[in-house]
Amino acid sequence: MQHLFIQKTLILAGLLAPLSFLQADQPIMNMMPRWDSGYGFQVRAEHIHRSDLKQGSRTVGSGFTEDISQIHLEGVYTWDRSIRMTFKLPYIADARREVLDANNNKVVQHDSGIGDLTVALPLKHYFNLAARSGSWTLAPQIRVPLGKQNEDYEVANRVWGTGLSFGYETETYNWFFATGASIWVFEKEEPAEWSYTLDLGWNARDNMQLLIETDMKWDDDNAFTLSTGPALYWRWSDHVHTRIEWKHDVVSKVSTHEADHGNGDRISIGIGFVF
Amino acid sequence: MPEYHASSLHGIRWQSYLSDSPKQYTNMKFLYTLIALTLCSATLTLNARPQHPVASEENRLTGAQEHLKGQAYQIAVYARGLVCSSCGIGLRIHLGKLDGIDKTKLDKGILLDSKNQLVIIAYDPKTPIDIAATQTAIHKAGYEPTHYYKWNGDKVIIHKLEGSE
Repeated sequence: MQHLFIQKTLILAGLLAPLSFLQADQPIMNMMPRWDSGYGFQVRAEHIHRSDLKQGSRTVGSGFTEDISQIHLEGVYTWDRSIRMTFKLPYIADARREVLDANNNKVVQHDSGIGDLTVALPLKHYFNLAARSGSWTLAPQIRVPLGKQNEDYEVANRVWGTGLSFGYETETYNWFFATGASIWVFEKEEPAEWSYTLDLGWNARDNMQLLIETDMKWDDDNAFTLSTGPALYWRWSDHVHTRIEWKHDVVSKVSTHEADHGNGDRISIGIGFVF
Repeated sequence: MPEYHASSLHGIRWQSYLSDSPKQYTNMKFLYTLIALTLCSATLTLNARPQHPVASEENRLTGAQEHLKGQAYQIAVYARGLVCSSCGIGLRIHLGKLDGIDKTKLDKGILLDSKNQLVIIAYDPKTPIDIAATQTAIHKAGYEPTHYYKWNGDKVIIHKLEGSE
């Protein structure tokens, strides 16, 4: 009976793909352009490794890994600096995960192809003070399902969704602080998601910022992830910017009623061009 | 959750932890590594950029004097909020579109001094700078110009901008 329970759980995990990565981050590098009639795009390579199959906070399949390699194309245009449109389109170069089939055999599943498009309309209120500047942001967003359906394994949600995020950021000559929260609801049976981010940065050089970034994410299936890690921003020129970040799941609790991959690490390297 | 053994599921290695202790150790190691990396980064870059107090009016005037001394065809504009050079590149983009900017000087005619929240603008002697257009361009770039500094051959003079607070 217990084996059967585990089997069913893992089969369910095979059918229900892990939720996609609802970053509240906005192109370009979250910060630019903060001027009228600005535009830019960035290309970001991301690799995610999850080391275990879990249920709730317990590891039920140690060493059953998941690896996802994606390329993100992201862009932004500002009519007025307080009204902008952004898009984010991931391309899944390769996703691989190990699960168990109905006959207790270890099965390797793959997914690839275009992901879901996210379009946002961030509305910003900037302020300029004697010692610092910053902004408040309210960003309605929609998720457009693209790409082919895959019954076994889908990295992208491939359902329609709508989200709202709220953020605040401020910066002095030396320091940077940003925080934000967002909520996403999806069609069909995809669970709603909430996330909260907290970023602390130090302007180590005129063209360099070191950050510690922390993300928390909850969903309606009782999943919770707390991930944190360092990030490095480097400005090569007015128009070329680079950002490297690494995040580790300090707390990784997946749904309590179905198994899913957890205990992840994520590394992202992006280059952005802004005009 | 019961404990499963390697032999129980057709040779597939299963392990169900009775506690999360191994993962907790991993997480602690990660946190220590993170702290160590942060400290190393901080140490390496400690002297990369001197810490600076809030840009006071006095500091800004001193900064403007250093930039403008002997420069008859440059002005320094106080752009309130310019604390980050990376965010301020819109200033170079918008000011660069104005007539008369001498792009052979400074950095394409524009220098950003985020320490003192100053924008230094070099202009062509044949084309006097349009202060109103400069003010508009700085607004479009996302900052609030309130006054500007100009070298008069002897010292720096402060000029208040129209409509500024």
